[in-house]
Amino acid sequence: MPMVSILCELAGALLLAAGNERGSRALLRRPVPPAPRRLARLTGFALLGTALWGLIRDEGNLLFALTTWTLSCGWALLAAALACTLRDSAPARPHAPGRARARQNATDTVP
Amino acid sequence: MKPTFRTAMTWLHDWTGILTGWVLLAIVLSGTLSVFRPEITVWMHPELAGRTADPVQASVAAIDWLHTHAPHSPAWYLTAAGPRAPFTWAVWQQSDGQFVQRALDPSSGAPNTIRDTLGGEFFYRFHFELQLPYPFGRLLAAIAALALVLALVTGIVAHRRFFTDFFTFRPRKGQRSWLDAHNLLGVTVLPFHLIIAFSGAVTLATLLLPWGILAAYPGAPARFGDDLSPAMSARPAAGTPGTLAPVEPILRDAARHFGPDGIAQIYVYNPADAASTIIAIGGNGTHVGFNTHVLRFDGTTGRLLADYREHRPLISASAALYGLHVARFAPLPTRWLYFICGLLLAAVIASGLRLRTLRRRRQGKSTEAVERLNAGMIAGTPIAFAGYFLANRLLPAALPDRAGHEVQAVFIVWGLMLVLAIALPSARSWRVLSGLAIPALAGVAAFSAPWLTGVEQGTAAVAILLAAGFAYALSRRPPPSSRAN
Amino acid sequence: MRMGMILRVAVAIVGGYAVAALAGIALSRCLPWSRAENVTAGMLAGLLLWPAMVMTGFALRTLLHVCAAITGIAALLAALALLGGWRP
Repeated sequence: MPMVSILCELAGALLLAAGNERGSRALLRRPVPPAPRRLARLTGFALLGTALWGLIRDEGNLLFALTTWTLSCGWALLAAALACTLRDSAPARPHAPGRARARQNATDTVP
Repeated sequence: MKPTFRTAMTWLHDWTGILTGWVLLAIVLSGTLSVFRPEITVWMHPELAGRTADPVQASVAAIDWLHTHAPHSPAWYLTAAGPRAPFTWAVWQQSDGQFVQRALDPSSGAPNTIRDTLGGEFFYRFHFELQLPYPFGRLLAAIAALALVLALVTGIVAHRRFFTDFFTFRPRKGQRSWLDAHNLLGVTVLPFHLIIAFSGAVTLATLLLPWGILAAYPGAPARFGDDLSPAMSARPAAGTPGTLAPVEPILRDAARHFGPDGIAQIYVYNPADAASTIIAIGGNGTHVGFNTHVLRFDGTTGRLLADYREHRPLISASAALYGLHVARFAPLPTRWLYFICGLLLAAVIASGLRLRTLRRRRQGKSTEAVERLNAGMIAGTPIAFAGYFLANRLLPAALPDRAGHEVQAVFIVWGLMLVLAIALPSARSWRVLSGLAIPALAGVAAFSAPWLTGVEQGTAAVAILLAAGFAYALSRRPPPSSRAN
Repeated sequence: MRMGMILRVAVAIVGGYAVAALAGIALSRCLPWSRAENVTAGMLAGLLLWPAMVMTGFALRTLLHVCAAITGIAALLAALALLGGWRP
């Protein structure tokens, strides 16, 4: 599996995290407006696509490449989520996380 | 009655999870280890470490040995040696009808130069037979696979918010963190979870849903197998004795047909009969589909009788699903991804089980009994599996029925862990079992000495990482006296 | 309430299996391809239908709805199988 594809997937996953409302707040420590988040998301998807293209070229077999891509993308997304967690929880957060999180806590508890 | 679609699906998700979670955990963990089936077999045969074998020469040696030692077995089933496996895996029947399975030495073809162990075969068999008699184990595994599909699909509905929110995991928040972990591990490799669960059911579909076969082939359901894989079926025995043609040219011919796919398996039917048949099955070097290229040879003359390649779209699709499940095609990096994703699926199941008891406890219901069983299964299964590896090194090499004793060791350890977990209060049993897992896994890493080959290094690394995981869990869990609830 | 849930579980699981089995039979008798392909298609469809039917069993509002839906689908598949020449 080529290094370039792995790096593409990791970068793509980080950009997807940056394109997510809570992910971006965790990574950049401040709220990010929707337009740049959208751009980050699109670039992220493009990078994941590039990684798939690289894998197809490298493996020469569509199904092989798709399998490897699906599994390794999951892994990259997990790494991105962990990066968000580490950034989010490293030092004490300066202020309360705001309305979105309060809403989150209200709706996402398991019924 | 439950008012909305989402609450109904959540209810279904919870109950499917709690009823099948423990058996699924055992299936998933043993399946994850089966990803490295030949590697585990090599680890368990230290005599084979560092050796290499030519698939054709090793198979010829194996067939020569079987020819003198098991001539009257109705069939010899060989899994050929290859780059991952410097041995031939052979299954045959003794004169008393008992099936024997052994690794055969690649140069002598004999089993007695190497120790008697099932190696990775144990995990592979346990993964879909659960050590239960046929067909109950397989049926249970098939139903568990479909229950996993159901739990995943209903889980998507129940935890639907995770698609927008999975990028932050909130640690140290009790139930909240368990929910986050459950969602995060579930959603990041959701395609893997879904495919592995559904394709697992596909591998056992003929057993679970035979009704289509019975309807399409009235009175002769075995014909379905002939139609499914036309070159795979042997001709009936003639009843007169015959001699097997020299197998080396036959296998060389087969290897030429398979090219980069390589020979995966060789079946010799009625080897002492005038109508003997040799069937060679191509490997998965260049494609995902499982058993899609099969050759049939006349065993007495060596003539090629059939060369079948699967091209029918639907059957190719089903073979590809099968192939995705067993992952024989996977190159080493993909194989590790399969392994890691399997561990993640086990973690999803374990966190789901934990989440449920946490929630019920918060609702003021007693969860003690379930929590004890959770500890016994979630921490006890890895200990029992580590016990298999340890038994492999601790039992004397010349012990009669050594392979059987190794398997017994797994269930003895498993039983002890469950008894221990049930006997202790749950908060203590988690600590005690996590504490026992660490030396067991460290033992596996130590017995991987001298850590020279990839197999030894990989086994030691996985064991150490898992031990570190248990050590972390132990350090994070406050002692029972200071626990809030 | 409790009884209703038990009945619902039973109808969803047993009825769902019946639908999956009948789908296998109907498809293996009615599809236009070779026998082995039809049977394979039927089995794959059955594996998808069983969990789907269990979900349906819990998604519908009343037990009566569930029974009606599952019986209806099963009857449809059985009719298809009988038209295809299947005799139980």
